[in-house]
Amino acid sequence: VTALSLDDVIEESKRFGRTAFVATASPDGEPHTVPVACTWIDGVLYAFVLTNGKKIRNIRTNPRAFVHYPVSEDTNWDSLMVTCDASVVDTLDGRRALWDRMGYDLSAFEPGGVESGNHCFIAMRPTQATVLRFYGLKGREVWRA
Amino acid sequence: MNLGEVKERSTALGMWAYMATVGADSKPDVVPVHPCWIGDEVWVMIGKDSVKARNIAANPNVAMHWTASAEGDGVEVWGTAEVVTDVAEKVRVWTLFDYDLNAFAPGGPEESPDSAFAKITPERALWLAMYGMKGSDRWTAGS
Repeated sequence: VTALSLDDVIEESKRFGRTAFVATASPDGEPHTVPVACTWIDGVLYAFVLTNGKKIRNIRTNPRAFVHYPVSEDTNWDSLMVTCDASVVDTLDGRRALWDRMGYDLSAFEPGGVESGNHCFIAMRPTQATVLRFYGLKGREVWRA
Repeated sequence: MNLGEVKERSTALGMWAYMATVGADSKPDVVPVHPCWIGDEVWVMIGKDSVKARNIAANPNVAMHWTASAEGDGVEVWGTAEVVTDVAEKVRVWTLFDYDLNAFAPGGPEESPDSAFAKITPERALWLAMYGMKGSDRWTAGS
């Protein structure tokens, strides 16, 4: 097992693109996973999502999230998995601080702009990340907070 | 949407799905899998001692999201899973997959004790067209 820094993890994530599968769990233990556009800002992974969506309802009661970037031939079947503690950024000040930092035009998804409370952000603070090379057959690299 | 359409649409999205499970400690996990519909159930080859298998033993709830299309169409299926290690069942399903399981378990169904299957009984599904912006369809078992 090779040790990574968080900067290594962030750099590695660029190979996979912006979209990753984010898994959360409800209070009664039901999992949920969807592909979400994720952006690293100051060492935290952020996603812009519907305020009344399942992910937000789950995170408000169980703050754990697991992120798996898509596996494909384009990335030599490598995996990047990030375990996170998640929280919801739904205040106007919080939304303003992040609105222009996601790397894409959020108004395409929220025509009401930053003032609208229909969308908010998930802040996912990484606690561990693992890179599996070729499903782990060619090595494993780990970062821990 | 009926279950036949769930199967049809998920299969059309491709061979990969992302399967989420939850551990006894309430931590979610999600990994890519290559599922196969056999009858009205979804089967996935897994490691007998994998995180997936341990999570399912502790909590049978699973969610599977097939890889979304370039247009953003996707389907998520929720259900309950059990880990199948019975050799007769492994023999029965081994050749029903659309890829060669021997590539991952060279001993075949009878001599690969570390391999198992997750058998998922779907309970509901949600189809989102263009991430939901162009509509959605739902299916619930018994509906």
